Amino acid sequence: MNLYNCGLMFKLILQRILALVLLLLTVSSGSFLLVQIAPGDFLTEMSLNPQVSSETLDHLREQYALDQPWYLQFGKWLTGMLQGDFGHSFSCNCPVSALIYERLANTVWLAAAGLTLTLLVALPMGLLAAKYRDGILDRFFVFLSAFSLSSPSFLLALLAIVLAARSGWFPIGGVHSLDYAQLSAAGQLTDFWHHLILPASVLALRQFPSFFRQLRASLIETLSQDFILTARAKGLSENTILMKHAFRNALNPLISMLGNSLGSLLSGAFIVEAIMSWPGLGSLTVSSLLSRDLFVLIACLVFAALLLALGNLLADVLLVIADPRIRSSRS
Amino acid sequence: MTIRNRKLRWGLTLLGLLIFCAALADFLAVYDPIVQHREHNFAPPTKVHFADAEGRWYLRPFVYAEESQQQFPLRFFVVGAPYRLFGLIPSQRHLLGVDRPGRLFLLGSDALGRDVFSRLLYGARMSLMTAVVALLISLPLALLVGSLSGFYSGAFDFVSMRAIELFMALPALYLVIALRSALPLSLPPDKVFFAMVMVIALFGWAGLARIIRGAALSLRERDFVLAAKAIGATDARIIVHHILPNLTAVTLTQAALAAPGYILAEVTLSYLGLGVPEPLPSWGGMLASVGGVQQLSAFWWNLSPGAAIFITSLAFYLLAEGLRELYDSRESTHTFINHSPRPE
Repeated sequence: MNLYNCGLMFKLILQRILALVLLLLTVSSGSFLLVQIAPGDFLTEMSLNPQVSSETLDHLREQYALDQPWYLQFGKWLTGMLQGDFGHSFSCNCPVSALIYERLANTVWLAAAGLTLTLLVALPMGLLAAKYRDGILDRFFVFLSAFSLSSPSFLLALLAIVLAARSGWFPIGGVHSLDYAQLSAAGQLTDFWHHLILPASVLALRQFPSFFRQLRASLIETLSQDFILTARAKGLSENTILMKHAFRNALNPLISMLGNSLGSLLSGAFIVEAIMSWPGLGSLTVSSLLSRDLFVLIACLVFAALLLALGNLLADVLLVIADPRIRSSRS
Repeated sequence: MTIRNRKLRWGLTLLGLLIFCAALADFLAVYDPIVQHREHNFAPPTKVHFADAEGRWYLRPFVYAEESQQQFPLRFFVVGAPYRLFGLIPSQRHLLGVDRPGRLFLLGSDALGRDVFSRLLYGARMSLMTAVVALLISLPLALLVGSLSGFYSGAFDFVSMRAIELFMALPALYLVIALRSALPLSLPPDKVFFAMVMVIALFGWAGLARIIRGAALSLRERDFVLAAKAIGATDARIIVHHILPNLTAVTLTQAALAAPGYILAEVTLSYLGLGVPEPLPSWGGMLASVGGVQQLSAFWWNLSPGAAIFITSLAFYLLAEGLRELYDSRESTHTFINHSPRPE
């Protein structure tokens, strides 16, 4: 990429980051408003705990301006957040930031592994189906994707844990084994992957049909165009045509789809986390809602929005890299 | 009327069957879904026999009572728990049953000895009701916002699109949880149901509105709209008589695509204990109340709500695909149907 393109990309990213800041402001203030509508004080739960003294409660109330209207609370929270302080978790009595980063990392790992598996499955399937169109393999893949598209991640996750329980091939729930601390570095890595593989597969199983169908459809459309005929007339092999000519042209809708599917990926991860007890952002959101741990809840929502927006940004940047036409149309 | 599209036919058949089960749940259920058969917890599905141990065949199928050789013939239209069919007609008759102390657990029983089959039927009612009521709220809202912002595409369009983007900025389930957080955790069941449906509809309208807007935007440029304008039709008349009827295809398809998402949201909320509370039967609650992986894998029949969710999703998937193919084949008049499947 030359210098001009770098400048363009920089401008695009700058624009999107500005939009992102606005978005995060709206999401976080909206969450504050929602939480305010809900009955009960931030500290209701905590004041029931006999181990917490009333001085601590007063201190917290003052620190987070809990006796003031929601926009003042929000202002206070915002100033804190800009310094990396997401408030206080009332149920674990620790700062939210101590809780959330590990959970966030777990969700990112799960989503990334799920997406990678999805692409590893969907791309070869799409290529094969388009190459042998209307053949047995194609029909089987189409059937498989329809089947998978109508099995909710809920069911898949349940079946997966039943499989894990029956076969003993996979650990059930969690990210680490009990003896994780004693393992060597390589052992720790293997352990983590061993825990990750099943939830990620469930996620991939739910996600691959949409990618497969998109790739198949756009490959079939591309293969019917004139430049493919030219390539055939030149005497290129079918595989070269498929990989070098058709696939590259069919990639664009797939990349836009990548951006669009991130929301469903995160929602899918949410369900997988809830059922397969993967300690990620989704399960933290639920537990914070159930225990009325509202700063944690707000932080979770803000991070979920951030993840989605960053993912979309990444997809846009990829699209600019992949398609020279978009670069020129923007100039 | 015969439906030539195979997917549409199967989708409608499956959906009809589901609605039938849900509507007649009181009559089809063998037992009251809340009654606990305490000494029969985690009973496996009752085997229905046609022949006894000696190999004699019977015309009327029967079941064995647990740990005895006593036979209990299957009876039809037995008298059981009283109910009101469709909430109106009082009755005590149930389709199937056996005399006590025989038990008929067609799909086994759960941890508290409740009949899974009966709970499944009532759960179907809960899930389908959620989808229908949520659609009844979100579709008109989406049609209103979508068609107006597509047709006028000025300041209103700008504002509503920003609002929609805000709704889409959170992954669906995070948004559901965020909205649910504004409501008290414990409420009476009917209010919980209402709250849940409102939450699901609120999260669902944005995606629908965006697609409807796109369709309305392209309709606005069509010649028949220009013609209507030329003969002096008012905006309201154009929208009601020309834009909205032409949005039928895209609206129906999107509704069929959205419905399983709504049901999944309901199931997830119930599973997390944020939906209609126990002991009222819901698919998510049934799965959650099994009590863990070990029970789930040892007593496989407790996975049946999962199968029910699959069948429901399949029905809506076939319906959506069928509708899309149906309208795509009339491409000359409907060129704007969105092809991408909606994320759940």
